[in-house]
Amino acid sequence: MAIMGFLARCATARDCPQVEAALTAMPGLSSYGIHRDCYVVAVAEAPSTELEPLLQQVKEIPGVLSCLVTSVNLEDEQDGGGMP
Amino acid sequence: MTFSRREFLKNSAAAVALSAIGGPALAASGPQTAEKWVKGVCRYCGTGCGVLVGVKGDKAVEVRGDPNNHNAGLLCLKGSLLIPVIYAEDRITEPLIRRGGKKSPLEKVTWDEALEFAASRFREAIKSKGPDAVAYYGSGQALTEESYLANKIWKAGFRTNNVDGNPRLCMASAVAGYLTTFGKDEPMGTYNDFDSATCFFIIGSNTSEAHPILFERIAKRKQSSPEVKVIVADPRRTNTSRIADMHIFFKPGTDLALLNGMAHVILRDEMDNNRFHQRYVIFMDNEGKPKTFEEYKAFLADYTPAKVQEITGVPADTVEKAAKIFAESSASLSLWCMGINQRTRGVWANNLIHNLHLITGHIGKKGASPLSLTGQPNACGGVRDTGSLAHLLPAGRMVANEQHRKEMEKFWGVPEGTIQPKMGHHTVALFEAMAKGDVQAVFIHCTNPAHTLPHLNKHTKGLETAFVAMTECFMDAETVKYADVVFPAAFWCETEGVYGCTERRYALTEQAIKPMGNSRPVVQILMDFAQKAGVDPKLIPYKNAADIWEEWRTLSKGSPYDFYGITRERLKKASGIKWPCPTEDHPGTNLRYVRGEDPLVPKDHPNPISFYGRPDGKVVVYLRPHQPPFEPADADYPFVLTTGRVIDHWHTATMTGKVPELKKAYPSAYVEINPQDAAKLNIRNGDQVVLETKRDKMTFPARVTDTCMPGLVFCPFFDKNKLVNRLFHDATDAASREPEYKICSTKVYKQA
Repeated sequence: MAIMGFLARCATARDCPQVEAALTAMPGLSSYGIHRDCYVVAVAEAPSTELEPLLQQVKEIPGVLSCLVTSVNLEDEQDGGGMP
Repeated sequence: MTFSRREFLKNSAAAVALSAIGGPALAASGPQTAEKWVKGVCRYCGTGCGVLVGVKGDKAVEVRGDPNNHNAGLLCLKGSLLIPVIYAEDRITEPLIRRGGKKSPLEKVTWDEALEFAASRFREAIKSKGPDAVAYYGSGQALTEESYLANKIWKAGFRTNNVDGNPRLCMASAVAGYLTTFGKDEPMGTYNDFDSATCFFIIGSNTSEAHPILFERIAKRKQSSPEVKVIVADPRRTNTSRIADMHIFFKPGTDLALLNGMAHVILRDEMDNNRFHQRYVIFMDNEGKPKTFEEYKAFLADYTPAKVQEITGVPADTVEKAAKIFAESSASLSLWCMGINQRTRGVWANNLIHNLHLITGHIGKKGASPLSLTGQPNACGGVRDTGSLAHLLPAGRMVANEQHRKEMEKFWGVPEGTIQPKMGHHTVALFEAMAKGDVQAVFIHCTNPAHTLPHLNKHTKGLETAFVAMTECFMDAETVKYADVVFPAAFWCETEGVYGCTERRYALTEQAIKPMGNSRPVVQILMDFAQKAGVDPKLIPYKNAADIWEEWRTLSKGSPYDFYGITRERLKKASGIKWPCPTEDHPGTNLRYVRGEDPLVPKDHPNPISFYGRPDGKVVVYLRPHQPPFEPADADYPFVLTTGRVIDHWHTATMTGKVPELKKAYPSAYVEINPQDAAKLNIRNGDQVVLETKRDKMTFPARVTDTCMPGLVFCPFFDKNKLVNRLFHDATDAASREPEYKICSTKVYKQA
């Protein structure tokens, strides 16, 4: 499983809570809080082949302007499954 | 409290994300998921985002955005997924040759054998037909040290100016635009201007998909400052228009009329900056004859909004509004890319964008600049600045200029007359010369012309005819099919070198891991090859890439491209430095040509701005009339075909195609067609649609969408199984020789 850190930029501050709620309802996604500049700080845990569609789904959440990736760790996939 | 290992990794990922938006800068110093972090630059577009490569043992395991670079820790998905590209199954790790000609299989051989095989063919070609029988075809993805070295080997070693590369296909018009208007290449502004601009004029650029991190910065600026206006001018309503206050649909190939129309409105309504253009600007016609401001106004009389509407299809009041927003904003920033450059009048279009800035004075202050976006990570620093094109020499010098040749001969320590006065073949002419047998051997580095050349059915003949030696990392690159020798090249963070991005920023990618298998750094390959091919060893006295950088840095001293202060040691510490930077204590330059900002402008200069690129210190507003594209739609071929990128692929997808999640998003090419056109042609989503041009015909699945305006169809060019450039002509800009990839006429019909 890959681990991807990303930011979901919300259109307005009012959108942030609902974006965060929608995002955390998706499997494999966790929120690490809402930033004052209208970002939801999030982490996805998913097979690397699923990262792109997952980001697409996040982009389609009402109130999301864009998604920006900040890191992708593939160590466990490279190691062939990974450790707990 | 204890964390599982995966929770730790997740917390680390969150901390890195937070650091990108002003939290503590944790990217390399925070939670450690790798044993070491090595600084570099993203391998993809010309934005030049800083990255940190996490290494564990002898493997790269993670990519993070560099919080200290301009991207502030952010990356697009492509950049963050570079690790799988390194470990792609089809990496080329051994030298390969075809012993029995083009149709024979590639065989693994030793380095010595491969190098001698290639070198002997180059020696034979030079012996039989002279130095111009060989050529180098390089890349805006090659490291600066590689391009500089190749340029020196070919121009001073082999004594041919047949040195060109793929920047000819993407930004040659921007180069010629800057050269003709300002006297020197490269922009005066930087990405810092994004944070001060109050009007973004984006024309011929799908910034959202081609430069996503820059788009994010624009979106952030607009979101935080409601007064900011975004104008997008494009025959396609791409994702970039999501943040636009105004989208201008213009008929493909009518950009010159639109830009002149905006200038007309600005002067008619006295929204120009008279003090600025009186002091800094001269006016010229197409022949270079001086004109007066009044003559310029008279020239623009042909571009009333009503007339512009007739030509472009843009409503007259839209032209009026766009001109007003541009002129009256406190700081206007223009951004453009291939939509402007890949035109038979791409240089003129560049000039006309510059005109808007020069008549309004939106230049030389924070947020106000014409800034051409770059498609490749090192086209600016590697190819433009080192002069690695057929007409250029390093640091703004020209092949045709005797004094410039003498300067380079002296610096390189070769006899006067070594560098030939005649320009070499530009790209299209080079492949024609290869097909004719005039150029018999070519060295191709870090590019894939069998996929990217225009009019492919014609120009692959050059690859079939000439002896082709190439460096390559990936076996599925289309050009490998034509290679006689393949040198396995170290990929990205397996070697070290400098990239120079759009904003004059030079940044070092450091070596993070060993080259895979038997692959080698390209500077080593070039030096070994040159020695075997008979180049004087004194010309290549380097131990490594750092030595080459030292020579190039010294050469820049005192030139308008002065970056003498950017030492290797500084590059190792900093996440990029912007030139001019003449001394080691200089921090780099944001506003070029501006007194007090640009160290090349004397502090006591009488004017606040000194356009030192031209001897008279002035810049040029050109009287460039509208001209149609080479092949507009007509009764027989009633649609316009255009091409471009999609967000998840880059260029020919030899890298992004290795990443399953990116490939899955865009597995193959398609054709976008407007719903009105689709209805008339009875085409539905997913139908197989034939595009037939005067060159060839191909079939694509349809995507019915209002992205394209009626009459226009779009295909992405990444797909090697659907080489859309087979459909294109190879007409080029008369000055820049950049092909017009953006417009050709086509028939469109549903496959029977």
